[in-house]
Amino acid sequence: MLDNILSILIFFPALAAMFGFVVAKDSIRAYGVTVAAIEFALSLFLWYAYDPAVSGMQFMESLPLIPAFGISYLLGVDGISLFIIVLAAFFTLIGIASLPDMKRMKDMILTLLFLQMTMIGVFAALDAIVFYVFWELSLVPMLYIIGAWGGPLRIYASVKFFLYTFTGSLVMLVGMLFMAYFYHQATGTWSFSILEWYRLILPENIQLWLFVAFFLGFAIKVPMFPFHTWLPYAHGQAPTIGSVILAAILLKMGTYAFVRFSLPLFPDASVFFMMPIAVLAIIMIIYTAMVAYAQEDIKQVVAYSSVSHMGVIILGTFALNVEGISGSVFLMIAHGVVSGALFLLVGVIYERRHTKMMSEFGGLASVMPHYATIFGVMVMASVGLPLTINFVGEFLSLLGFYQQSHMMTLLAGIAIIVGAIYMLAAFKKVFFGEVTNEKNRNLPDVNKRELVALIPLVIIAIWLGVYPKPVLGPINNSVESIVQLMHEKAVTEEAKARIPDLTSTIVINEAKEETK
Amino acid sequence: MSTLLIWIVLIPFLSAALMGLVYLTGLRSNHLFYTITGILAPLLSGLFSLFIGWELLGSSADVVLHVEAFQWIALGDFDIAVAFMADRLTAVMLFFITFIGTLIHIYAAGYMSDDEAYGKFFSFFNLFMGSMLLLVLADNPIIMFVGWELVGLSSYLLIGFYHQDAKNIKAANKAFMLNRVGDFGFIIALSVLFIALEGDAFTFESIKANIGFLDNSLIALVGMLLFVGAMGKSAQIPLYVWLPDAMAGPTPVSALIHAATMVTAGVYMVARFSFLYNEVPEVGEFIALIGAFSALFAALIASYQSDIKKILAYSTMSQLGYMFIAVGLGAYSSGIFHVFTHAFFKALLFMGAGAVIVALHHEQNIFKMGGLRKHLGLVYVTMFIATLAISGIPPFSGFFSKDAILAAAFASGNYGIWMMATLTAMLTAYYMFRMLFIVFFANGHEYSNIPVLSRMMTWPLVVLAVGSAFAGLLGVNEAYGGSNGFASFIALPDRSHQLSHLAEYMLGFLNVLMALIGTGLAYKMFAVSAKEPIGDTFWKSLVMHKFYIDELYDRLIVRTLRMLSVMSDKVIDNKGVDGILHLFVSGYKTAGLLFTRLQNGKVRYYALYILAGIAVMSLLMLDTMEAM
Repeated sequence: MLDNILSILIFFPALAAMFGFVVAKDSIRAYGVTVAAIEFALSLFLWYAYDPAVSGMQFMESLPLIPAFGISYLLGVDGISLFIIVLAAFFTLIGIASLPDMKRMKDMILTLLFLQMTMIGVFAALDAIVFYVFWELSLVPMLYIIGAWGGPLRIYASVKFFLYTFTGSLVMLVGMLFMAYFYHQATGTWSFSILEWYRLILPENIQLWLFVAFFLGFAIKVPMFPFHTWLPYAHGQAPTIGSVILAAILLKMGTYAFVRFSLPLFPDASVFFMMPIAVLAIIMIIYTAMVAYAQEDIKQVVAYSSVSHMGVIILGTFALNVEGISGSVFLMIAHGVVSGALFLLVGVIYERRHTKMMSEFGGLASVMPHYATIFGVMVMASVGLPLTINFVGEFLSLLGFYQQSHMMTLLAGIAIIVGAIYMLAAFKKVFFGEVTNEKNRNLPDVNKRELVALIPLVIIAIWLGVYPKPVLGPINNSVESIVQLMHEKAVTEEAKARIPDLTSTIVINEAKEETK
Repeated sequence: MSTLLIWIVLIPFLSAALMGLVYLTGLRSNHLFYTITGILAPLLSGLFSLFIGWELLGSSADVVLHVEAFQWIALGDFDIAVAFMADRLTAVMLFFITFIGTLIHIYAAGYMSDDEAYGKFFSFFNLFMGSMLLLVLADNPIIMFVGWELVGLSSYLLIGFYHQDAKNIKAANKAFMLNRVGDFGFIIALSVLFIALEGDAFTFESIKANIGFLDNSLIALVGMLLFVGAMGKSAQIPLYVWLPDAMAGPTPVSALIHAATMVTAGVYMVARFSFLYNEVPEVGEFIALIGAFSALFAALIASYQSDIKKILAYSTMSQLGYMFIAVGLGAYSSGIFHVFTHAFFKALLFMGAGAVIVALHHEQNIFKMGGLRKHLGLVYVTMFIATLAISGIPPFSGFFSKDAILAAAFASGNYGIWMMATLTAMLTAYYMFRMLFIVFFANGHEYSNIPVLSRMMTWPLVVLAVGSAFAGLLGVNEAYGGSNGFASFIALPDRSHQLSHLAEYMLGFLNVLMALIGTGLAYKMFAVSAKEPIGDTFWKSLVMHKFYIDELYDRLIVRTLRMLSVMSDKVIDNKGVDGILHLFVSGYKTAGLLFTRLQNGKVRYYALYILAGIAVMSLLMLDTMEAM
């Protein structure tokens, strides 16, 4: 079973979704929860079986699809993708379990299971074409979720979401084809395997062009400033579950792809574009934080805050050293947990009051104390308080980038402060003061169905903040091998200097051990 | 033995978590559970701290206890463990934090007894204790930062404890934000230091060992940035504005924040980094200068306040200024000594004020009090002792610690700072006795049904009064016939300047004289009858409005930020970024429309296109043929 566990993880939910069409309507939730629970258990098993000491790919599967062009069904996980896969399985489970009763419940659950296949596919794929297929397929269920269950502007939002990301992906596809072409030029054989591509050393000017092509696809997905305007609409119109999955997992595809493709394939271009991207990331952090401060809709606050934190992930990634990249990968998990939880929390009051305007609320802490407590924990995690999950990632990301540029990191750090302002202001508006609106006086507190989703998230947010090692360790090993690969591949002097050489530090450390 | 350090930190956290869970799950039927769990935690931590202190007292001054709980973040170079250490400085901090903390817990059990959210209160209270102990016991600056931030969190929770009133939450947010500004300086300082040290083990000990290899300008930068953190936590100019507003919390919270915990963190941090500040005395002088300005500034404001808690709040800020003068000028042990004595009398003052407030059914304006000494005898006596102590009247505790600071300022040759501090000493006596006279003497009001204060609230006052009176005797210096026990126990690397005994006597005399002048002025103006001040002149109204600093910050920062935010949202994001996108879309649409026009299904148009195409091709061919 271990040999094919990734394939099972990918196709089991899709297969279950097929069978789901014949399941009776009133038992569909139980069916969905069971499937997602099995899937989550499988993902936990994957984590359990994963050897943290190995830095390379594990559980690899390979099956030639179009041998003439070197396209094959190639899967594998390393420390970078492992936890995002677990997170994807986890969020699908709690997403289905906490789903409020809605129209066309069955369609929703089956769509979510299908979406799960595409998400895990993206993170497990090691062949560029397979990756691309899952990447694009993931748009379909999300488009359906926003378009069918969304708010009044759902058509505009879903079309914008689809066209925007699709345009980016097409440019990325062209980049992939060119990459394969250059690989063919250099070696004489065709291959779309990312691992094969890793070995290819490209001249800098080609790297620059290819980097830009990939960048466009990834940056729109993240979404980076100034490509972010589709996201507030998507979040604003999507139902709770759509926002949760979008923020927690789908956006991570972009940042994950930077680590998987851009950095190891184009180390010189990464160094070349480091500062421009850092500027974009910092604009994104500060600017979206300010936009968040101006929002009157609680969900938009959470949406913009989610974008703002994605900026820190980008910054950490382009620190191009172990602290930065490991921090950013860890922050991907953290961001998934925290923003996913915040969207779920916003869903709780939306379901009760059918409004998301903060002016409609106030004083909820007296009416819904449990809800306020959980929201408070997540707000604190979101502003990056130590001993919550976000702090570790944010701190490492900033520490990593500090080694590249001091001023930039200082500017990014300002976001830490601004971040606290808008979150606390929103928290105050919704939860504190007198209950001014009579409609809020008798709101029921969080119910069991909602707690099933929220309590595990609270536990994770604190557990990984206090003891991040189980996750950080495997991430670190894999990131080290990527950084080393980048250093060795780099052609320009500047890139060699910017990307640390880990073998030398290892030698020094060993020397130190000896002298001791 | 060292594993005790883990328990000292862990017990308050555990009890906070336990009480929080019990409270949330609704098993909050009786107060007894919370009272016992709540008070037991600081008490146990305190007992363990005494063991630690005993151990350190018996061994030589450079013995440091270490214990590692677990590895926290380990990434290549970056290896941070959750580890604790205790040296003699830690032991002193531990002692008064847990001792006074326990007393405040007992007092709070009386003060809060009618509150619905009793369990929540004690949960937050112990979280506060745990955070502070974590900060004090940290073995490396990163863990210290964790405690530092958690203290900020718990103060946020406690200041906003009465959350039904939005005003309190505003105060809580303000405290959290200003602390975050400071924390930002702190964490940047740590990053600079970490990268400069090239990731060698990042504990206080190893930093101390390697500090000599660093550039002085870099150390100065780190020192300044760290002090930004201290400005936030210890409420110094310009980040102090949260402290007076922090009075929004229940009175025991004020006592805890102002006396034993939180605000002392900044002073402790500077003393902890004394090895770093000793390398850059000019940064220390800057710190002392900020301290002196804060001391004087706050004392001035305190002299015109009418709210009993606000007076005490500004007095805290002012006393903190003294402590920063001391640690800035390298008199670390005098600074910590003042932290120590201040903890006693300030806790007492707040708890006494809380007793008065409860007795008068939540009246805080001192001009609505008066003549209370007949009704609240015990509170009056204890607060009198505390006032004597804070004003620096010998032999009460404040005299010795304040005198040591003033002597250090004089001896270091910073006469400007010394003069400001001496002037502040007079103002301190003035505003403190002003408060005391107005509340307990002055023309009495008629009071109806003053409740009997519970024992829980009164006997901690007595214990603290004994402390306020005699704590100073621990650190009597040679000039007054003591042996300077406190300084020699704590063994900090003071940059000491010798003064002759005669000079010390003269300085001491001057201090007492200043305090007596202040007291006399207060007596003359307020002891018999007191009228609420009115801001009739420019200067008076300036001081009464706290120099309009809050308003200035509001205009300059809060509103600007708000405006920029709205502009970013409504203009840049909506019209700018999305506008460009829509421009593309409309361009695409126009092009589409254009092409639909072309493809109109009429044959004669198509014939025209064919003709045009042939014409262009012929021209091209002609062109190429000519070239051949």
